[in-house]
Amino acid sequence: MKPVHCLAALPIAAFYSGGWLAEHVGTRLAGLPFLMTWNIVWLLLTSVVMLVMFRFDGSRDATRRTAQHVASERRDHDGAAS
Amino acid sequence: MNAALAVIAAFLAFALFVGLRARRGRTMSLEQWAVGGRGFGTLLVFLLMAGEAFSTFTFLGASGWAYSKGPPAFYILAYGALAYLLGYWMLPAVWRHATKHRCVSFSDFFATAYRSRALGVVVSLVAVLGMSALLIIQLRGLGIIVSEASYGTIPPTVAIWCGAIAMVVYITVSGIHGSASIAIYKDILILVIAIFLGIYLPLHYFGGFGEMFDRIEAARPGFLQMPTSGLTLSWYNSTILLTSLGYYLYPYVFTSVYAAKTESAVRKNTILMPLYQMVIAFMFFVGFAAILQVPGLTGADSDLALLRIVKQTFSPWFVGVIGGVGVLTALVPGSMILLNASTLIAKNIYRDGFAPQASEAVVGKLAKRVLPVFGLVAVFFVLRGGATFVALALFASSLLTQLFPSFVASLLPRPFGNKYGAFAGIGAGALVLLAAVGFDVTLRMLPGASDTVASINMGLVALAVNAVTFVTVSMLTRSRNVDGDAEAGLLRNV
Repeated sequence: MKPVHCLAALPIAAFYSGGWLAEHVGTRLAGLPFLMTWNIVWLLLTSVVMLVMFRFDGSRDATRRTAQHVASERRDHDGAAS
Repeated sequence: MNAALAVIAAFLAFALFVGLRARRGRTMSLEQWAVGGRGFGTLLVFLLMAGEAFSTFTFLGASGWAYSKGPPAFYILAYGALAYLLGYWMLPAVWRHATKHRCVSFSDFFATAYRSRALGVVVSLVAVLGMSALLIIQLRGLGIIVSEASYGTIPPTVAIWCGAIAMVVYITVSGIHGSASIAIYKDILILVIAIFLGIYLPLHYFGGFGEMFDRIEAARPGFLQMPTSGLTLSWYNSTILLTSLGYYLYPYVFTSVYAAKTESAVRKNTILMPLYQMVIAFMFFVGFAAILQVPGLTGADSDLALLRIVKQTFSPWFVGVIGGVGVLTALVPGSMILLNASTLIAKNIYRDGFAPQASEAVVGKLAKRVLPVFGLVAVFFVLRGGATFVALALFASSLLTQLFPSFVASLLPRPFGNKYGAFAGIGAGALVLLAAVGFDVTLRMLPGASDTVASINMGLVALAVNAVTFVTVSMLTRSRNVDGDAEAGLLRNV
């Protein structure tokens, strides 16, 4: 677990507070039912959060390593076959 | 023959053509047939997962829920996002485990993680039953869509037969490649149609989204607030939790992870999925627009909200296009269910349970023979009703979520638990579910239960009992703890 993964707490908190907020803050937001707007906005932000985690948590580099590993294995395999 | 009918028939023929052509140039080993030889990139995995996640339920159910229930329907947006967030860690771990152990089916995962063929067989039985329920729902949806969109010219029975035969044919020939190829067209079409309908209908009938909700509020005061009994806020929150935890435990969603070529193809897919979930928001707009335009649909008929408002608004050829897309939304998940169920029956029930020495080729051949039979059984139950079987199958599909504790424990950095715990936990969860479904046991029976407590989803209660049992029994039988796969762990790379 990297510090950047703490960002994942944001969507969780948001989706669980949405229903409560709708009851206490107001029933409409931007013309739509409050909970609908809230959930749509947080759907988009969930993607953003995951994108940020992906960019900074090292899993991109890990992927590149696996890809290279697979590629080299393939080369070995082809070499043996030819 | 009307225009709508011709368009729907063209869609079905096109799907069959694309599905059959997907085989081109491939030798179909079991691994190639069931999980595409593990060679799918980000885009194809995305299309497959989206294809399964957005079935006839998205098409009819989401709009129907908005139409009949209002705000509780928004739980669908929330649980999807949370499930994908969990998937960010869970799915790469699943992929690593599956690739290392060469898993092909859903229960291969459990059988290898807990080194127990018996667990694999039990999971397979539950999964096959659960999937029959889902297949029945898809076929029933297909029948409704086609008969409505063809203005009653094609009875549901004929539509169900045609759809089922098309699925069986292209899946037997092309396997997962058939599903993936059709999913490409289906996803683009449903995206375009959903956005178009979701924007056009509120503007056309009400002049705007705010105006639409103003008029709904005026006509039905309080409808746009969370109900205070039944589907209350605590139902909403507990259901989000239950459904997001159980999201990936539907066998056909789970195994599309296996088809990925790399770990990052899986992870990128979880990043994209919440964006695709927006389709559902547009479906909600259609459902809300229908409230005042096609009033009076109650009970199961509320699923017709979308088709009724579309028929009232557009000319027949366009109704046909929507019907055709509806057919595709049933075909993609339906065919994935057929594929997974037959692999489970052949590999995990037949071979693991009865004939351990059977070769891969024999299992592959058997899977292709089981497939039409399974399809036929599903068609039979859709047409005959068969309430007892359907109830049993639905029970099994909610039981699938009960695999969560043993599933997630096997993925921990230091895997926890053993097969005894897994069996006991699943059994305990099943008992609670059985009490809830079969004997109407609810939390209201607790002394002094408030509405907040009483409306907590019983599936979540079953899951809690299951988790506690799993941990307790695993700790008591610790000396025989032989499981786990630390290398595949949830947080290995991160």
